[in-house]
Amino acid sequence: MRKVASLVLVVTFMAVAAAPAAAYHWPEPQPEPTKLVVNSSAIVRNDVDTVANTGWNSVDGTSHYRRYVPAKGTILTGDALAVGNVYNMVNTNSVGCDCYDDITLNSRAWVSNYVDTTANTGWNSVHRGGFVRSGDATARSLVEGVINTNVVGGIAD
Amino acid sequence: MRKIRKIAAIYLLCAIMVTRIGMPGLVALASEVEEVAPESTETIETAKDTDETTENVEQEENEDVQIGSEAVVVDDVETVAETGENAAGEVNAEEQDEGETLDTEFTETAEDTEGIIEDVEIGDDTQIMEDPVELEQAEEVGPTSPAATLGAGEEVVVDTGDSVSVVEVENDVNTTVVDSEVKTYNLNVFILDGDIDLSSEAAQEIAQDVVEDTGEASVNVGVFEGENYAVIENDIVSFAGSGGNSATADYAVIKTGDTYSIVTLVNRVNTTIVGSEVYFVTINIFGDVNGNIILPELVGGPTPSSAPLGVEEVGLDNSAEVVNEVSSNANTGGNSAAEVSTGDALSLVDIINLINQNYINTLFYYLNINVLGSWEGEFLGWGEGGIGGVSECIGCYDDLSVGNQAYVYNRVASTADSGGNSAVGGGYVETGGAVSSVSIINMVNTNIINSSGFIGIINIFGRLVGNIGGVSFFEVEDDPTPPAATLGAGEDVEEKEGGGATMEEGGELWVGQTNNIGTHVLPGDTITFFMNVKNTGTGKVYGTKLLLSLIDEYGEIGGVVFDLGDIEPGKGVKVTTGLVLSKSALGGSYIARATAFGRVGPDGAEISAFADSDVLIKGLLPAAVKQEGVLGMCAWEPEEPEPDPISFDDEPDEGLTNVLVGLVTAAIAGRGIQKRKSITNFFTSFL
Repeated sequence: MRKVASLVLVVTFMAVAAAPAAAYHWPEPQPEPTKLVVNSSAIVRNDVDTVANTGWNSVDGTSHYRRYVPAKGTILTGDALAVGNVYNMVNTNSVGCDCYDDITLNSRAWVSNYVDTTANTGWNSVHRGGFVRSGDATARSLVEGVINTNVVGGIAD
Repeated sequence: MRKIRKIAAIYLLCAIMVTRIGMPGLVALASEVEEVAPESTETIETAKDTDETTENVEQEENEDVQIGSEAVVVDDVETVAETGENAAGEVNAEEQDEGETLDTEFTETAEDTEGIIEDVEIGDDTQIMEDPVELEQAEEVGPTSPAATLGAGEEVVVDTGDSVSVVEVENDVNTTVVDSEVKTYNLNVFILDGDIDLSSEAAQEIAQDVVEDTGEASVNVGVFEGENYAVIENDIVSFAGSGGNSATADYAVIKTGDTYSIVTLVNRVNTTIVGSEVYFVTINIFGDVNGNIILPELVGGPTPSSAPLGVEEVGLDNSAEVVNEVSSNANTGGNSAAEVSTGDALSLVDIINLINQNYINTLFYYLNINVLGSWEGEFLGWGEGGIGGVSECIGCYDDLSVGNQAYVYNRVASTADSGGNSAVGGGYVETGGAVSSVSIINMVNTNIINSSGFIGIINIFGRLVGNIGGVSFFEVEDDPTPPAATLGAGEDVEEKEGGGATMEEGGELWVGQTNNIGTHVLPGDTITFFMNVKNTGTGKVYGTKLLLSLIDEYGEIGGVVFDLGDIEPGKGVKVTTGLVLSKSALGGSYIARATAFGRVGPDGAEISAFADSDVLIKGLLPAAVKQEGVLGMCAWEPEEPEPDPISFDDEPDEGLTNVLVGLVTAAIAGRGIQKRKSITNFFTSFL
């Protein structure tokens, strides 16, 4: 009985194996899915102190610099310009193609900025008469943050 | 056995990098590894031979390569330039009988130091290099406390020279560069009559090339794994002084020179650059520069949907802690005398933190232009560049895994001081200027793959007469027409005709214009306009000008003019410009109109064409406008209610230009990010 069963099995297998090739398709190899995994964490601290000073001057007495024309004290200050720029670009992912089937982007950021910007042309003092002309004082701070930015895609229009 | 293969592969990669990049640090690295794995001696030897290395690379394709890097770098830098702290004229009527002059004619003490520290650990063995960089302290210059004695009625003069302190520190730590170009330019320019051309090979002679592409075969590895750990500490003190002088006499005079304290710090930490081109640029202009600053045009950006790298899996893990403690002080004040005149004080801190950046097939720009002096020119932007990767780098690797950990601490103090002088006894103090500048670029945990980028800072402390922009804006087209036959914009036709010159007929203008606004923009946002001017006719168009103007319901409120020169038939000019809205920009609907003017024919007939695009600003309305309930009313009314139409022959209207400056920017600080998205940002500066 076993012999018969085995014979039937062999014949069946041969029949299957002898079937026309067109009747069966091997599965075409599928490309591995492409993956992009990005994990980003950042701690950024900026402590910026910017000072421009032309002030805090004092005059006292009569100027003899121009010897033949004694004059009261004079203060002429130049300009003071202080600029503090901080640009933080943290955790940025830019993918300029449709290259990946699976994209995982995890971003964590702690950003703190302490920016002091001071421009001074003043705090001048004149004793016993005189003249003060101070220049311009300009202080400018610019803090920019581009945090946790993801740009994924193909070609822009 | 697998471990040995890994180590061998590591050697191989290092050998490749040594031969391709020529970094001394990596040569040292190879030597260190020799003790760990003597089996790889043969591979190390190949590092000395470029050709063999390249062959081995190709043979070892698809190897599993791992890089584990650890580094601790401590930079402790103190630089001092001093021409001040002078004292003269202790009045002693009994002992003194003649005057004295202290003169430290232009004394310059400068430190120009660059430290590049690299340390890469491979494998499991932990070896941390701590390599502090100690820079020399500049010596104090000039006489100090000469203790001169003077008689009453005599004159004392203290006249100091300039003082310059320059510190440049560049840290390249755990940097892996494959098939890439990384160029660093740190330029301090005092006087120059000519262009600063960063796009030319000549520029490389005055700057530092960290990496130079040798054009060798690509590095092919199967799996690329990098583990980087870095701790960076920078302690930098820069001091330039010419002040702190004292003089005592009946006619005491103190004149101090200018002081410059300049700090440039560039940290590239845990950086992996594959198949890319990246520029790092800092330019400081102190004196007069007559010329253009020509920037390289980059090729790169997005590619079509297929994966160009053949990469199946990319894993990037970045962790960073960055601390910047920066103080910048410029002082010309604090003087006491009977008469005081101080110079200007300029203090600037510019910090760019690029932390955990991953760029794949991307074109990115960052340029910050700080104008603390004067600039007669404009930022032209970059050209269109190119689409497609810098290097296709197909087969560079199958998988990429990079883990970065970085701790960066920057403590920078910069001081320029020409003040603090005292002239007692009816004296006079005149100080020079003081300039203190700190520029820091931190690029930490950055992976740049098949991309191009430009990161730069340009500080103008002195005077620049020239434009800044991509090289394509400075290219001069060959004009076969004899000069006598051409006409400049606005020139009188009759005069030219008297000289026998005639203009061709048949020229026609066409203008296209778009902007990058989606639905609307907000105050402070940036609008980029893309304009295309073409000559669609059969003859040349002479003296072409392009006017970009903003128009509201009351008329034109401002505009800028670009001189395009002559345009041959069938040729065209592309112009891209950024419009930065101020934070106080008012809401409303505007029209941006690009109008091209030109002349054609023997009689110099004027032709023109224009194209419009819509600009919708959603912003706050002024109180008066709110009361009227008129949405979008613009407060920037022209000084003249009905401005005259811009005439072709007229010079650009200053009033209109100023309005636009108020709306846009006085000194463009340009920053472009991810140009592939057509985003070009400029932030407003009133400098």
